[in-house]
Amino acid sequence: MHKDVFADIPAYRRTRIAVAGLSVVLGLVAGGCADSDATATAGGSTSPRSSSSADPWAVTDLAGYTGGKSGAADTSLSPVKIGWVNQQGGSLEYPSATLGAQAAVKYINEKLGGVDGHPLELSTCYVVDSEQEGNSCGLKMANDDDIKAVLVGTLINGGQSMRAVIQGSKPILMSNSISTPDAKGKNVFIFNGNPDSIFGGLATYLDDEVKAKSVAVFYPQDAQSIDGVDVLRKDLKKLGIKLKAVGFDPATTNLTAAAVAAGVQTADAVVPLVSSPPNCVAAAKALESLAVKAPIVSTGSFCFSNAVAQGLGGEAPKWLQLSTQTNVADTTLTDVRAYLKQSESASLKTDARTDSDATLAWSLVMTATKFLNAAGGADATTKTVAKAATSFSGPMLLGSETVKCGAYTDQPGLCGAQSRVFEHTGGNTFSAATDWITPSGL
Amino acid sequence: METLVLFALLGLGSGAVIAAIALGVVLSWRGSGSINLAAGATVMVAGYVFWALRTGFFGFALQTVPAMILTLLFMALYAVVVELVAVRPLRSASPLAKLVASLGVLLLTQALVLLIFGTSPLNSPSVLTSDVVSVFGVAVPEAQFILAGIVVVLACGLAVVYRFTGFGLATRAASESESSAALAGLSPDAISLGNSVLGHVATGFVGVLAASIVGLSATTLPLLIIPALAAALFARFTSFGIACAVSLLIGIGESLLYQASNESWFPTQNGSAIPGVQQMAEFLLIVIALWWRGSGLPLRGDLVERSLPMVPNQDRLVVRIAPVAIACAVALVVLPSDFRQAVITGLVATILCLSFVVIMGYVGQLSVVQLALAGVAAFTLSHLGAEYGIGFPLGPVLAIATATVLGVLIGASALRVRGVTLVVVTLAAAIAIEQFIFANPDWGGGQTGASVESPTLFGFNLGTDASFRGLDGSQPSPVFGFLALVVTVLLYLFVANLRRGDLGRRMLAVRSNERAAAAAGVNVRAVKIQGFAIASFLASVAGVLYAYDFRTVSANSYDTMTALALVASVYVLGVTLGQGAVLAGFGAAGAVIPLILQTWVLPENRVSIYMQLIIGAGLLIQLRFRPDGLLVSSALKRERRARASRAEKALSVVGAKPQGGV
Repeated sequence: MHKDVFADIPAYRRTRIAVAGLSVVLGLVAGGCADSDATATAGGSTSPRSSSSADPWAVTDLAGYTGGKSGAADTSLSPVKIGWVNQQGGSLEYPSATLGAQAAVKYINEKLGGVDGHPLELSTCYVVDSEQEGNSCGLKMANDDDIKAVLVGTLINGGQSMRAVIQGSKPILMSNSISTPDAKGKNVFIFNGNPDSIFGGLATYLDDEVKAKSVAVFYPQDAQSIDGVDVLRKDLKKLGIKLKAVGFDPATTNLTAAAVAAGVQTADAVVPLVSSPPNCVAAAKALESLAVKAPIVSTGSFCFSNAVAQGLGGEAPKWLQLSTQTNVADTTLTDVRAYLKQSESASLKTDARTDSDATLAWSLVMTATKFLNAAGGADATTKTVAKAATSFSGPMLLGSETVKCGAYTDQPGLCGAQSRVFEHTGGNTFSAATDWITPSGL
Repeated sequence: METLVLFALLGLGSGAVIAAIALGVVLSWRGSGSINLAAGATVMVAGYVFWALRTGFFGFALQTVPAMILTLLFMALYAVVVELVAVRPLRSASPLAKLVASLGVLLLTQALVLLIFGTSPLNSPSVLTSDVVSVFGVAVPEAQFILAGIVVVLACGLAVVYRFTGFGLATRAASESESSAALAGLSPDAISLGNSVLGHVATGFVGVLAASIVGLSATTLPLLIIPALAAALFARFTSFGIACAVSLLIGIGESLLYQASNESWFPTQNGSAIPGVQQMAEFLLIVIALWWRGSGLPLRGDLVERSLPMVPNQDRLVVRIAPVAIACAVALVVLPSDFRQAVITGLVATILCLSFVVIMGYVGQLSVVQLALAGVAAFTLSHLGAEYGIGFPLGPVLAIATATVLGVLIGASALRVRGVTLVVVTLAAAIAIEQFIFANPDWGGGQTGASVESPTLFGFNLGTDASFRGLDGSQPSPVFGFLALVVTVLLYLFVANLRRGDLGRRMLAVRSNERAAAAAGVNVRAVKIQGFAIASFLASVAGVLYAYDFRTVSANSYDTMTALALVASVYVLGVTLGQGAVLAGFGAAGAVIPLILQTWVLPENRVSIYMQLIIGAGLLIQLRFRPDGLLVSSALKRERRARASRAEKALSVVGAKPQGGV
């Protein structure tokens, strides 16, 4: 009854190939990077790729990546402990992240020799939804001398109060951050992206690939989303793209009017800036009922989670996803195939395996193990781990090739800032629609 | 003009859902004289049951019609259970207790749904058509119009039933005077049950239809009670037509606001529309309704006498407090870090709960805005420090003063309101503050919350990061704990002494009967304002201490559901007694009791939901068996024993013996 909202996509693909080809030439000429097909140019334009599975740097060998040895850890040795803070237990929760982290630890201990032969141990702490729990987790992490680094899963609330307690005494390793101030914190390392990098990447994509002149955004009126719209507005303004944004009460269940007010039926692109599962479901229902024809781009993985799929009857919305990590539903990618096999052997359940929160956690724990091994194994200290994190230059497991801590002077904690667009083609199948994009505006 | 009409039509869908809940509220008031805060949860329950029946959650999947019939039967059964558990046992209770009981139903129901169905939203199978119709060139889903039409028909049907049928006549008779109705051979219990069943079935029916349009979520649907209460208030909780019409207008207004937010004249901040305008408008709408529609709800002639929880005397305070204070002081030094932090949080939460003791226990006004006021104080403290360099002690003084003044203003706006109607005003105020102030990137905490510097005085750090540590040498420093302990003890003594003083007696007089108090020369308005001022002051102090405790302030700690759960826990333990506030404080999020449960009893990642379940169930059990509150009942028993003992001694002095019992 409704026209397929992606009916126009083939045209974009054709455009993308043309743009990609041009970018390759420009990239090679300007950068002289003939030895790499990777990612982005300084101006924020995307690089071409003839095949999405052709990442020569894609990480598939975990022993090589982590610096571990094949075989099991020696359980008679004292464990090496890392902290794990994640948001779960309330109405907005991301339990798959913890499952992914636990599976990674299992894999490391069973297949990668632990950390220098010592078993790796997770010290978990969960934030339900408030700063009280963030504070408690901060205390737990700061007061345990055995914890060598604090890993943050998916955390929307409580991060500030956690950092206020830790006060830079231990390295805080994050995949993604939902707030810009995180990257300004002491001893914080963000390897995939934060709002500035994500919205910068989105603006670049909308300009370069979609060729949008007008963008419709509707967003819940919470602090994170309001700030996000602000960042996106500035980035789009620099590129000469008009933005029409409408905020709504986060508790609203019917977003049809908000979507119409934002101009979703006339804009060149639509960005539902939503993250909580109820908001994602409401946005998807509204856009479907309005038969929106323009490309719909969602940032992050929030609206593609199992929870949202469940809320929509089994399948996440068929939108484009601007992601800071590799979407593991694109099984044409070599690192994805390796991950699926490895995580399966670590008994990670199928649902969780393809959940982006679990993927991020898996990647982060593996990367932390890499730092621990590089920092002296069982003798690693918080300082040597931080040093190893600082010197990490990529590629990131299931992420982009380029990582550089301190690259952005305003945000020293932002080590990885690239993003990539995937297309949800239905049946929970995604395919990479672009190569890695370097954000504009940073 | 076309745009206005278009957005007015687009708002009908949201308005219809609000209208369904508002009709449930009106039915509940007509039937039992209680304001049903759980009406939004009724929509949620019906939606989830229908989803479960259609999708095979219970092991079998049904077609739409049988699933709908079974859902409505379940809703009738659910209504009977709610009636027997939370309504009928409270016939002799005050309207305040009835209101709190519906709060218990809300908390319990939401927690059960979250535990049974999970926290993820669900997709309810479509019942209405998914076709779209073109309105001024814009594709609009037809289902929204159909839903609005169904709700209008339902409202008209209910109006007809209550006007022209024997059942409606009996209900009106019972709501005018239960005793007269009983004398006429009518059963107020049966009438209440009939209304409850009708209300749940009607609301549930619309809930099922609405769920297929807006989706199912245990977190968003129950909160639709706020605009529904506003509509019901306009209808004086009696008129189905007005409740339905105002609900639809609220939906339309919300839709028009979306459109208006893009206009050049709309107030903006950093290029975006100022958040929370809708909630602020709803709050103002409620205040206007109260001034326009008079002094609140129509009174019911109940069959049985209403009573409020007793207010025991609080004597021998030093003897009672000293051991607890000493134990806390020792705990702050010897306990491990996590429990030390939990003790500090418990002490601060105790102050917040003391504010409920004053406003609810002493003055008899159910105010749920206290937590939001604490948030205002906390955010003000943060901004004073970060933007104006005003730190301790002037910063907290100004922050407390600001939030206290705001609390008094909110109280003053509701001066014409008695008792339970106040909950509607304060609930709307709390949400308006949450959305208008806390969510504002400049006024609130921004993305991660606003940071707060530790308090220092003459170079001494009094914060949680002070150099003096507990026995384990870790954070938080007991120094801040001692500060919180001293403040808590002083404010506890103040609140306990308030009960014994002249102002306390005037508060109790107002609580018992405002007209009688006024006749006795008590200035009711002045007493209410003073009550609001004291309660707001206490909440503000708690907010400032919270900010120092966590060194950050974010909106999530001050949200409405947290506030409702806190109100419920204070009521369970004893809202008229300081000890009730202490126990409720130590049971608040992040305090000692949740930590114990989290560490040894409950699954770590489900503590908050289980706590909500415990509070909701505890509230209903307490209202049934210990209507005064657990600690209050014990205190009253002690008081009676002491009085009997004193009488016995007096009699023995004069050589007489006590005769018989009373």
